[in-house]
Amino acid sequence: MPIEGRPSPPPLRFTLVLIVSILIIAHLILEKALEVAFEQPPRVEKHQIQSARQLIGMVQQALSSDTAIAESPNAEQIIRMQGADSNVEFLALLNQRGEIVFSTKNTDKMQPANEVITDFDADAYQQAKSEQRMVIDKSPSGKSITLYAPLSPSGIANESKPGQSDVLYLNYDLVRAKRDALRENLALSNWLSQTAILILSAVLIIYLLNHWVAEPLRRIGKTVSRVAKGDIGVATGFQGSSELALLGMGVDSMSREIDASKSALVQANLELEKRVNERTEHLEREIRYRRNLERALRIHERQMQTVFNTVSEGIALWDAEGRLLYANPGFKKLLCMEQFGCSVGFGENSIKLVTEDGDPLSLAEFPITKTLSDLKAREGVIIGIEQPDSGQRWVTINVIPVTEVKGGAVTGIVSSVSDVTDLKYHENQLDQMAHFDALTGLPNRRLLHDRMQQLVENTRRKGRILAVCYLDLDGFKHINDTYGHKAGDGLLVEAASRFVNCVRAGDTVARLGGDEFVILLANIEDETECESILNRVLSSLSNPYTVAGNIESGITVSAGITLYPADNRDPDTLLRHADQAMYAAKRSGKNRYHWFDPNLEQRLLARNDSLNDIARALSQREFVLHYQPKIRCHDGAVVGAEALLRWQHPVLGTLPPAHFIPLVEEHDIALELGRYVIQEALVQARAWLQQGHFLSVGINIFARQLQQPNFAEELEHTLNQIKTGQRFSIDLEIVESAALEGIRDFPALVRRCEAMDVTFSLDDFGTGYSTLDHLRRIPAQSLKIDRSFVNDLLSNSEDRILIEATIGLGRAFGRKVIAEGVETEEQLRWLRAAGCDEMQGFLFARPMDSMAFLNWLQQYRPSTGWFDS
Amino acid sequence: MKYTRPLVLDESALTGVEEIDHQHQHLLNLINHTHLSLLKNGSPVNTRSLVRELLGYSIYHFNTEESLLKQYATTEEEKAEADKHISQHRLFSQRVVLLQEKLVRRQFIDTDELLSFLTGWINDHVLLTDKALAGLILDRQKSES
Repeated sequence: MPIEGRPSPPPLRFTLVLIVSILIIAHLILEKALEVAFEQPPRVEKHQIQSARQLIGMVQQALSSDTAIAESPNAEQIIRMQGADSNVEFLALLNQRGEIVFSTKNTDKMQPANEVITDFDADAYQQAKSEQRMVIDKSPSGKSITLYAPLSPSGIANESKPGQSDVLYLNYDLVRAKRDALRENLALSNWLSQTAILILSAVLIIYLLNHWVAEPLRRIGKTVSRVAKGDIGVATGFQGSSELALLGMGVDSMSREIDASKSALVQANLELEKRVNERTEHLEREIRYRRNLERALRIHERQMQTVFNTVSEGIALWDAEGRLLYANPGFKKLLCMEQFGCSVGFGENSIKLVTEDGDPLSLAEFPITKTLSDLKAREGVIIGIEQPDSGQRWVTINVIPVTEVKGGAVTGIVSSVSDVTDLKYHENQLDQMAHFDALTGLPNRRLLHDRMQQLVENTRRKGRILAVCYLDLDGFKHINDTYGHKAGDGLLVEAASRFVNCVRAGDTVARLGGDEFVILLANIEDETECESILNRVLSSLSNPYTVAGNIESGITVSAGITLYPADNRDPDTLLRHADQAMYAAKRSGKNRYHWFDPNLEQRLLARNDSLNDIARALSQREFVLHYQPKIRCHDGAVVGAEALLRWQHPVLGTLPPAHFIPLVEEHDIALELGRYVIQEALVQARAWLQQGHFLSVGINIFARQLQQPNFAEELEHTLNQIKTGQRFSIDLEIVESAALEGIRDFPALVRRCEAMDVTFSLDDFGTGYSTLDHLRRIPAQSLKIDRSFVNDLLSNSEDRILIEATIGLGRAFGRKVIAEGVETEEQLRWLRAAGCDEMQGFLFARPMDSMAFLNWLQQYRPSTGWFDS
Repeated sequence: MKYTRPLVLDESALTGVEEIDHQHQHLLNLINHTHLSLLKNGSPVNTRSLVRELLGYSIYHFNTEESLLKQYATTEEEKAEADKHISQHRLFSQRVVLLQEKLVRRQFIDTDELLSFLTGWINDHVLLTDKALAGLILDRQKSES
C-alpha cells in the first residue's frame, strides 16, 4: 500500500524537550523582564530609597517621643515591627558606643555592630552621630542600601548633644524592594505580559501537542477505526523512528497485515465459496438424484405393489416367528386363504394337498410350514392343491429365508407360489413334441440320437451289427413346388407310414426334418438282411402316391447305409457317414442305396495318387502307342492300323489301357491323355506316309473328348500342324457310344470331320451299350465287331448270327464292318465269306511299337492261302 | 449264389508296415463291396464303378508294394521272391481287367468263381506274400537305423 508523504510527528521526547524549553524560555523571558523592571528605571530606585527614608523617618519619629529610648520597651517593639517589612534586611538601634540596643534579630543585643553587621560602615555611623544627619550608604552591588539615621530624644536634632545620640541602622534590600516596587508599579503591564507569554506558550504547546501528538494520534486512531471498519488500504503513511511514527507504521503494518490477511481471507473466501458452491451444486445434484431416486422408489414401490397385486403368482412375507406379514391377492387365491379364512388357507380339514407324484401331503410336510420351522430354503417344490372352486391345481413353491447380511440370522421368510397347472398339463405334450415329429409322429432327431446311443451300446455288448440307413426322398421338392407344402406334408406322412410298414417290429424309423429319414436296423445278421429290408423300402416307396388328387409316380428314395461296428464311430458320425453314402446314391442315379465306405479317405487318397501318377507319366512320356494292323478282307492288304495306348510304368511294367483307362475316364486328365494320343498317332501316320505307306490310323477316343465343344477345332488345328500336304485318313474309334448322347449335334460334328478326312467307328459293336438304336442315330462310317463274338463264332451259332446280322446292317446302312480279335484262319475264312470288310487280330499281328510295326509292315505279304479266292 | 461273410482284416493279417496295412484294409473293403454288388445283382453302373475302383486301387497298392520290393529285394533269392510276388499282382490285375471288360460287354460273370478267386487271392497274398515282404522291409529298416 502506498504511503502518502505525510509530515511525520517528531519524537515525543523532542516535543517534551521543546515544551520544557518553551517553558524555560518563557520563564527566563519573565525573569528577565522582572529584572529589567527592578533595575530600571532609576526612578524606581529613588522611590526605593525614599521608601527607606520614610521608613527610617517613621522609626525616628516614634522613638524620639520617648525620653529614654534605651529603656523604652516601646522602642524595641517598634523596631521589631519595622523588621516585618520584607524589604528590611536588618534594622537596628545602635547606642552611642556603637553597640546594638535593639534589632530585628534578638540574638545580637549589646553586641558591637561592626562585629555583627558585615557591611557596617563605621564612618557613616560617626558621620550620622556627629552631624546629626542621615547618611545613606549604597552597597557596591546596588542591591541594597544602608541608612544611618541619628536618633535624639527630643526629636529635635539640634537640641541634643552633638555626637551623643543613638543611631538607627537600616539595611534595606533594594532588589526585594524593587520587585515589590515593580509589582506595585508595573502590576498591570507585568500581569498582561505574563499572561500573554503564558497564553502564547500555552498556545504553542497546545499547537505542538496538537500538531505533533494529538493529530498523529487522531490520524492513527482514525486509521485504526477505518481499519476496524474494514477499509482496505488505509494507512497513516508515517515514516521514521519516532514513537508515533512507529505507532503509525505499526498501524500501517497492521493494516497491511490485515489487508493481506483480508486479501488472503478474501481469496480463501472465494476459494471456500467456490468449494461451497461446488459442494452445494453437488449436494443439489445429490438431492435431485435422491429426490429422483425417492420418486423412482415410490414409483417402483407403487409398481411393485401393482405387480404384486396383479401377478397371478402368489407372494407372501413372513417374520422369523412364522407370522404372516404380507400376502398378495395371488397368494391368497392360490392357497385359498379367503375360502378358509385362516392364515395359510389350510387348517385341519380344509384343502387336500398332494405331492408331485400324487401322494397325499400332510400340512406338516407343506414346504412353507417346513421352512417356517427349520428356516431352510426350498425351491421349485411342486404340490397339488385341491381347490374347492377350480379343482386340482398344481403349484410350484419357493420358500426362501431372508437374512439381513449374508449368513446372518434369519429375519424373515419370502414365499412364492406359481400356478403350473397348465405347464404340467403341457408337459406331456412338450415331452411328446420334444421327441416326436409333429407331422409324422415319428421319433425326431433328438429321440433318434438317444436311441442310437442305446443301440450302439447294445450292439457293441452283444457283438451284433447295427445298420444306420439315411434316406432321402427323390423328387420331393417337385411335389412341394407343384402342389404346395400341404400336399408335400401329406406325402411325407404317407412315406413315413410306408417306411414303418417295411421295417421289422422294434426297428426305429425317425424323421430328421424335410424329406430326410433315418432307419436304424438293430441286431442284423449281415448285410443281406439289411439289404432285403432296404429293397423292400425302396420298392414300397417307389409306388405311386396320390398327391392332391393326382397320381404321382416319380417319388423314390435314395439311401445310404453304414454298419456299426465296421464303421466304429459315435452316433453323430455314423449318421454323417450314412448321409454321405446317401449322397453317393443320389449321384449315381437315385432310387438306390449306397454303402458307406469306411475308408473313403484312403480311397480318395489312392485316387488322387493314381491321377497324380498318370499326370507324371504324361510328362515323363511313359505313355506310348502300339499299333495293330487292319487287313482288308478282300485281298489281305494292310489298309490301316489301330493305335493302342500302353503305359510303360516304372514299377509295374507295361500296362494295357484296360488297367488305367478306367481310372481317368471320369477325370479331366482323360482329355490331356486323349490329346496326347491323337498327336502321337498323327505324327506316326505322317512318318508312315513319308516312308511310302498310306495307312488309315484308328485312334481310340474318350467320350469325354467328343463332349468338348471345341473338339473339331482342336482336331483341325492339330491336323494342320502335322499335315504334309498329302492326304491321310484318321478313324476315331468310339467305345462308349452311350456317352455320345450328351453331344448336342453329333451328325454335324461327323460331317465337319469328314471334310478333314476324319471318320468314326463304333467300337465293340454289339456289346454293352452299342445298340441298334445307336447305329441309326450315330452316323459312324464303320462298325467294329467285338472280339468276344469273333472268339466264339465257330462254336457259337448265336454269335455267328449276330455277326451276319451286323454285316447285313452295315451293308444296309452303308457302313464298313471290321472284325476284331481274329486269331485263326477259320475265323478269317468265315468272316470273308460273311462279307466282312476288314479284320485285325493276332492272326496277322499283335499290337507292336512303331519300330516293330514298320519292320512287320515291310516284311508283310498276304498269305496266299487266305486271300486266294 | 451263396453269401459269404465279408472279409475282415484281423490281427493275424496285419503285416506291421502301417502303410501296407492301411491299403490292405481298403482293398479288402473294395473286394467286399464288389462282392456284395455282384451278389445282389446291383446296378451295372454301380458294379462297374466298384470294379474300376478296385482296379485303380490295386494299381496304387501294387505300385507301393513293388516299389518297396525293388528297394529292399537285393539278393538273388529275394529277387526271385519279388518276381513271384509281382506275378501274383499281375494275375490279380488281369482278373479284375477281365471282370471290367465283361461288365462293359455285359457278359456272363461267374460270380462265385470270381469271388473265390478274389478272396483266395487276397488271403494268400496278404497272409503269405505280403507278410514276407513286410518281414523283409522291417528287417532292412531295422538294420538301416
